Amino acid sequence: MKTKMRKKLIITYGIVLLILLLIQGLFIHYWYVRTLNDVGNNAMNISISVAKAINIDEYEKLITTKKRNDYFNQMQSYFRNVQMTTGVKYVYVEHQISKTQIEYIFDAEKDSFLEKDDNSTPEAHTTPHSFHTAVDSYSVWGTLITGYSPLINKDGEIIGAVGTDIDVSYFYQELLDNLFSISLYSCGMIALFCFLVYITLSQEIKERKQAQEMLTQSSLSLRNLLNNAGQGFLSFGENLRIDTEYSSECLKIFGYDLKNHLFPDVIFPEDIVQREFLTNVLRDVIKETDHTKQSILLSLLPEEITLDERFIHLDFRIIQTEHKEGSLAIMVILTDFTDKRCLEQQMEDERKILKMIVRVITERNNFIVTIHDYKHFCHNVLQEMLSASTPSHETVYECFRRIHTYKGNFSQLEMPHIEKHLNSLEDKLSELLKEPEDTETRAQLIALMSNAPLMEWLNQELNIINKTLGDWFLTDDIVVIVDETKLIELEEKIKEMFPTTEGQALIIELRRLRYKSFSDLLKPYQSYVLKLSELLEKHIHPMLISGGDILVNPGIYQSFAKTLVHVFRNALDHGIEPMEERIDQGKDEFGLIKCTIKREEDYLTLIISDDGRGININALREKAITKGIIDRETANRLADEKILAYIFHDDFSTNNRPNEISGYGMGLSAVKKELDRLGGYVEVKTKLHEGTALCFSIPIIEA
Amino acid sequence: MARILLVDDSAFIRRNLSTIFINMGHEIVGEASDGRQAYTEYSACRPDLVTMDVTMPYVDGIEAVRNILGGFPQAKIIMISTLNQKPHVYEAIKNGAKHYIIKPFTPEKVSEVVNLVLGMD
Repeated sequence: MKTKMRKKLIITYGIVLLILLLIQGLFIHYWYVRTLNDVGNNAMNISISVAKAINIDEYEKLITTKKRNDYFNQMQSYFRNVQMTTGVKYVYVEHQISKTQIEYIFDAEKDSFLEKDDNSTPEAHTTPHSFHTAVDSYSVWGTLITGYSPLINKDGEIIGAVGTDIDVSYFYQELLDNLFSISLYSCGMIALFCFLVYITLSQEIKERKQAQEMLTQSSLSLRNLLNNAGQGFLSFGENLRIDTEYSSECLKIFGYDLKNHLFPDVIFPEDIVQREFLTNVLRDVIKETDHTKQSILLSLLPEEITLDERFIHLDFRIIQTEHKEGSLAIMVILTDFTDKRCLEQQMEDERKILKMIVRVITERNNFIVTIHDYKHFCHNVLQEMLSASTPSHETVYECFRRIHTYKGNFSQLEMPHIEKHLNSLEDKLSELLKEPEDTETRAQLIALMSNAPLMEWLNQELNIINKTLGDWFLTDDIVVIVDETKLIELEEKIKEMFPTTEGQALIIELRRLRYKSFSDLLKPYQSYVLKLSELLEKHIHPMLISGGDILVNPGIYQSFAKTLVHVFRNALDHGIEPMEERIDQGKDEFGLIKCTIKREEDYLTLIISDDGRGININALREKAITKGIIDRETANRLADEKILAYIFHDDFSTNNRPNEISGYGMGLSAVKKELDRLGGYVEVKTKLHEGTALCFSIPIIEA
Repeated sequence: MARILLVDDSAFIRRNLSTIFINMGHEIVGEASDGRQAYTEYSACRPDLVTMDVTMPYVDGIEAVRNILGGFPQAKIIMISTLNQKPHVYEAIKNGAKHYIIKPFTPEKVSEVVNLVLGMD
């Protein structure tokens, strides 16, 4: 768009300039012609006045007599006089004697009376009026302008012509004299032209200047942004040489001026193979025209490099605009993520330690046996093996086997450091095994094994365990008590350090030590119910507990679980009928009390049901009225479920006689209180003669 | 639906890929456990797509790519490789393989690459 405008402008200027030059040329030409004319006229005028001064009769006498006389002499001096006073080159009178020849009569220059000349101007003798020639009348006398005036006798015949020659140098002199005005005029023209150009250009120049300024400003602020982005930005074209413009972070990352360095050299200064690979892929990326293939190739480029122990992330982008070489360019965004990597490494290390701690706590016996065994190997077995006289390859193999086993055991215990050391030792032993056996083998084995700080490796791990759990953990006692707060601390740390799923698995493992499954909290009631049934002379099946393998913090649920004794007592006392009654009703003679535990998202549901006589809701309603808890009107209005909820009321909790028909409710207010404390709720379902179920929903609280 | 030939010396990987492809609605028309077999299988069943392990016994993946494309220039081959085998993948691509998948792969990644390659001319 802009270049088009520019072209137009240039053409316009060209045309204007051409017109101006043409005008100038025409003007000069006109001026030249005019000056020439002036000079010619001058010559002509002189000729006219000279012609007038000539006495035609005397003249005719001269041409007929062809003899010099006084008149001739008089005129000769006149002519000389005219020549002198006017400064013309020649003044003369010529008389035509044939079509091509003349003879001179008078001549200011010298006496050339009757001298013949072939170079005449014939018009001078045929034209009855005066005229002048043009400048191109070259003659042996120089370049002249001649003004002619005819001499006409009484009969009107042309009998001669006065010629006045003015040297053209005179004309040039004239021109030179006028040069100043010509130059002035030209200067004026040029100035006018320049002014015109300036007027039209000034706006554009101004705009360009502004644009340039804005560009400089924006590129400056862009550079500022890039320099402070905390990432390195650089680019290069097909020749892979880094462009001059790169962000200052690059300088920080590489420590030297990257300008014109080959990008692959900078990235892999030492690794020739990688460097070549990078070079080839980059060249192909730039050459590739298919976008899909280009992005496939791009993805093959390295994403991370290490430079002087720093981790650099590389992000390659294709710059689709044309690079200065005419091909595509590649931009690279470099991010130093060493700090992040170190932090990750630190986190990873801590995670490993936590894993190890959990593992050694949960598998303490295994742990104690393993380290015992390992210590025994280091202190005794190894020495014996090395000093024994068994063939050396066999000894190497035995060492290899042992080390391999310990590696596996420690790996099982999540002890990463010792596992790593043993792994490399194992590799060396396996190398040794590959070599043919010779006298050196034993010496090599001894060197290898005694240079390996086997105990130090173990102690490193034990120190960590000591620091976390205390040195008592490493005693040989079969049973150790781990402080609960220590376990809680560990759990908190795991939650912090691990992503959810992985941490959850570890936490569950750890909680097995501290947490109980909810059903375990109910298990003591199995024997309690049995004993109580004997006391109350009721016959029941063993209590069933189903589900409930949900780990809970016993500290939180213990007191609630303890109050459940009232629920079981109620079920047995007021729910399960005596055997005879059950038989009469066609029921199983043995009553059944069931606990069903389920997890529903964040809630745990516990249903304690019996297949006894159920709760007589009407009797319950009456009792509520009698006890003055509600008035009759309210009682009649309330739905059965609402009435049933009164069994948890304080006033229902006391003074119930056993086997009383509406006795259900004894002590249940305590259960409700604990339930409220946990934020749970309860629902009572009952059917007369069929049984009662208390359905508890309890939030699962972890802390 | 495409007809696919699996080339990998690991039966585990073959089974893995096979499950993914069948779930995607493709058909497995052949399996090979080395580069030599790959060529024979290709000639026999002319699949729409080949997945090719890089490292295999006898004739490796790159050689197999060269062989197959030598005989069947229109063959679409996807390389299966580990992260540190990128230079090999590059060589395979230079030899005409269309794309690559890095192990361990997810069904999403496999599906993305396969659909891309099947869409190529």
